[in-house]
Amino acid sequence: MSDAASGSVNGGPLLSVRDARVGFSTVRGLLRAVDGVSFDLQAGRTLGIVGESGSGKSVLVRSLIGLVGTGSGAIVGGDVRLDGQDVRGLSARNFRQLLGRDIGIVFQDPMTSLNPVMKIGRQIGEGLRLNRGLDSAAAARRAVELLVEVGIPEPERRASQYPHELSGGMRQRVAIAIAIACEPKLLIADEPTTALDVTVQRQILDLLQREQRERGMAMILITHDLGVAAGRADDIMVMYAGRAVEMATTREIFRGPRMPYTEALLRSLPRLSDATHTRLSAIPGRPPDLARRGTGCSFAPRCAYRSACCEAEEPALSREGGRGFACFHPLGAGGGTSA
Amino acid sequence: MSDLLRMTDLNVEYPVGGGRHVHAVSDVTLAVRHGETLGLVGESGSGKSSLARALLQLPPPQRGSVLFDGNELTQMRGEALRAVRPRLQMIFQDPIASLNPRRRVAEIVAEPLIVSGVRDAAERTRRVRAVMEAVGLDPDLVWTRRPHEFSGGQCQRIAIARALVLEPKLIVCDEPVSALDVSIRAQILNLLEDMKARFGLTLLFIAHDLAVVKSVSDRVAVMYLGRLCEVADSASLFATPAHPYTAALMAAIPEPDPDVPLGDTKLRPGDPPSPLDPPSGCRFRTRCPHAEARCTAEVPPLREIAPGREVACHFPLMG
Repeated sequence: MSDAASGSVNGGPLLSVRDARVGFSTVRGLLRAVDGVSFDLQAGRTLGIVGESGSGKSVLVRSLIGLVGTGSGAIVGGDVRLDGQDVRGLSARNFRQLLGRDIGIVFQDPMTSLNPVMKIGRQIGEGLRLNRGLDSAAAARRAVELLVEVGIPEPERRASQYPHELSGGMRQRVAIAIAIACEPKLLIADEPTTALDVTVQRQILDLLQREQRERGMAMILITHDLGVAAGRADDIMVMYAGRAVEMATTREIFRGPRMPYTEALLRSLPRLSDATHTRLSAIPGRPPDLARRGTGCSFAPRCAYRSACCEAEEPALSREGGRGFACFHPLGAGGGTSA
Repeated sequence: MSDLLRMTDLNVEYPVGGGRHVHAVSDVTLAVRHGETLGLVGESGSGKSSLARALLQLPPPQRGSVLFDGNELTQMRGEALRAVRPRLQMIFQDPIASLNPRRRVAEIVAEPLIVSGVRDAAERTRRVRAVMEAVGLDPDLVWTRRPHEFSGGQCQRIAIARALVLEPKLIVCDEPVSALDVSIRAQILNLLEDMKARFGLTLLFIAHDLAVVKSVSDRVAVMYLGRLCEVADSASLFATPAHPYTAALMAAIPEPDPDVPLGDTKLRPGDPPSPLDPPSGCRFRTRCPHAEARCTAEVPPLREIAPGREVACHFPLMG
């Protein structure tokens, strides 16, 4: 475990998460959506969190920023530190300040994340007024500058429009302008381009990456699309059934996955380099029911390498040379998938 | 190979009030050959789903002809159309929403048989069991269960079984794997390939994911804002795209490989125009890096630039 608890800002990770847990009580019992996930994120780096639906990637990140709380019937546990500060121990008021000032968030669907009855310029300026103490006129001026920065033509006119008057791509640009307005240290992008077309997706990812680099922000990029993660993330955490099953640099993940699930996922993708009618390596079965989980490795029933121990005991995330994988039978380094 | 389906000058418009119309599909001429998989690619608003619905007469197109297996569907109504429909089936994007939640799986798969007049219950049971086994569902396990008891991938298998039970010639697959997770997607794509070989099907496969389309399609048609841009066999289209839009789409795909550099789409900045008010001339011209005055003035017709390659561009990238 890391020593980030000392509270030192210099050298320590910007974000440190230890043993994060989120459970929901359901009629069928406790559903463990996130089950003991730990990771660090350094300033200026981009962490891609990849996984399929139900893997817990969104719930994990939402729980870090207080969007999954006890109000929703969830049981949230674990230690979260931003710049050494214990986030979970903050009062509601201080937590809101932290969110507004230090963390920016971009969601999947800008139509539902933007306020439909507030003009765009005012939405962008809201955080500046509340967190940076700008007056209305200064916030409005800064909002227009931010619209220019995120590549929106005719920014003055757009600032006085409502979200429904913009296309999906433009709305997501506005959401990014709001997220970066207060110069956050951490930008969280939760499937930011899943609702967009591929040519627009490209522009939005370019914009996110440019802002992240120019401002030296750390970014968490949550995506189900391995292609998006490959092109934009420095490091990748693969989640399966609520747990982090592999963590490594992006190149390590794609060149030599250690966890069989990661390998199987990469092999199942159709690739442009394959000829038409190339048979895909499908992963048999489907992800487990999180409310009825057995004792062993969650992936074991679908895994080609499973043995008796995989079904008896859950493998912990073991560390080896800076990377981690939760598997009793890790694949050899470099012996994984090639494109 | 002869054509199983031929659409000629197909036009689909939707009224949106105030006398205005969305031009969802404009002057599309496209054929699907016996036994092939034709991939139809486009972004949202390109008209690919409207095209699929129009060819199934759901509802009929405003103008144009749909010739399927010797029948002019746009001229047929009621009973005559119902007699053709068993040969023409569809699979939808959202497998859970496309199944009636109150019905049992056996009833869902048997319903097309009842509608098409198979009266003998034993015969229906035999055919439903056979098709369930073909798509990898255990009839004894699924027979009395309801859709909510299944995952998305299993529901898509049920939808495929329902489409296959009448032994159709053509299945229109509208984004059949976009709602599925990566690990399930390959299972369903493999199943569609197997079913195509086993039942001698012809597929019209609509999707926005180019890698998925390439993996199953013999030929590919690309649409943009209601018009066809390019039609070519899969290998040539992906090796040398002739339409600037096809090239941009391919460059925009995020490849799952950190060593593949991001391509340059060369697109002009800006968003796709609204289909309510499409640009004059070539509809892609507002984003096209090669647009000239002629592109504003003249609609580029779809023309053959090489054997089997058609492109609608005044300045194609090849030929």
